[in-house]
Amino acid sequence: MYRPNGNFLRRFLKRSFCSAENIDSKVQIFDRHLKRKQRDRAAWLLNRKDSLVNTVADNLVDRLEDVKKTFPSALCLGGSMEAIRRSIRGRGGIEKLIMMDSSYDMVKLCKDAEKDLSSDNIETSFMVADEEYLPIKESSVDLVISCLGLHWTNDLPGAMIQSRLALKPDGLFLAAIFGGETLKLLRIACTIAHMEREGGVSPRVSPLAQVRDAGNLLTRAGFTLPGVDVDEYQVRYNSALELIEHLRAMGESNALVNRIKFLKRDTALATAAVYESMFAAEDGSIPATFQVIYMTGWREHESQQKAKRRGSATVSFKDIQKEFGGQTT
Amino acid sequence: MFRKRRRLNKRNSKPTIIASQSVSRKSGKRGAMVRGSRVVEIISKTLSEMLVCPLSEQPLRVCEKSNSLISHAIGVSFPIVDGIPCLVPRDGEIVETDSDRTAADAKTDHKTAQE
Repeated sequence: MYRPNGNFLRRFLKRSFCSAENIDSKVQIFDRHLKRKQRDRAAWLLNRKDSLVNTVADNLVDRLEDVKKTFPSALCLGGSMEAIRRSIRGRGGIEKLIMMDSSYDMVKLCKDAEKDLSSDNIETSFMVADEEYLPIKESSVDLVISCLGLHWTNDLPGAMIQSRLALKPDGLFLAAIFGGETLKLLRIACTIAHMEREGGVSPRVSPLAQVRDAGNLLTRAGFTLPGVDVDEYQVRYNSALELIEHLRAMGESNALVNRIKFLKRDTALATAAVYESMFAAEDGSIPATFQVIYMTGWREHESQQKAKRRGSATVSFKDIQKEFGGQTT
Repeated sequence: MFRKRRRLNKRNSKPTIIASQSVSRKSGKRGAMVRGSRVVEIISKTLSEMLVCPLSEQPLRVCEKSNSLISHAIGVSFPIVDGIPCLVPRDGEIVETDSDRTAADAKTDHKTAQE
């Protein structure tokens, strides 16, 4: 049957972008469109003094100082990019910075905040784009930095491969994502309250990558010299509801495709009650754990050190003493 | 099937859609210097050098008339809002070509005739 070209394309567009409506061959775990809306809302709720986000951003940017290389052009992927922008403060020799997020309001917020930061002479540009469809030319930036955004991608390896391709050879990929230990207590409280009130469980806290996965992810995405390290932050809240408010302000609300689209009031209150009765500290504060996985990887370059191929050694370990014997003694 | 087409027609009537004729004519006119300086006004030079189409990875062209970025490879235009290009695939609009439109019209005519 003859179909005009445009209609075919339109059908393709419809099919591949409507994540919630029909499930494609790719697995859809997160509703990216909903996430976008949540981040729009988070732009209005954003707290610049959020110590968790600021600490993570600062920690991430701090890694630039461990490297001798400078990064004239950098791409900042979605997530807490506003905090990243504030923490750069001349580190890493960044001259051009592209800030990207899937939420327009978030980008606009950063653009408006730029006036207050113009002292550090970084040429900043802004765009709205999706990490899963990175619109950056191959080999065009020296640094890709992502702070607490990539854990919402459906195709994390794919997003990382695209970041690698966007990097110039010997470019650095730096990312912080939430790890599997994050909000463990909330997960437990949600499950118990749901079982009690509704007689079943529905996913309310999203699945997150484990630490051991992070190294595999970096290798799979083709980064060289991969490095992974983990930090755990304990945040104390006055009540469980404050924790939820904080999550909402960070744009970290539930965006699972298979979520139940409403939450009954008494289930929500039961969750808060369970959380408070089970995990509250002695002074009445509510602890919550945030595990942050920091990932570092480089795009391949011949100047980088590399392990020799297996079996390519020409000298036996037994003879090493003989080879270097003269120098050591 | 029918519902889908109705939605498409609604889309067709949006004012942001650009006819392909004007597109090809504009790209044919090679006023590189003038165009180059104007591009800076709409989006920064850094961006215009780096951006590609998020779907086809092909270069994008800035269209000043509609204030959008156009990917010729797949015929989709992405809006620039307040100097910020929006390159999320969902924001893309399909650029109507003339042959497309006549084909679509012919098809709807056919359909109404049948009914």
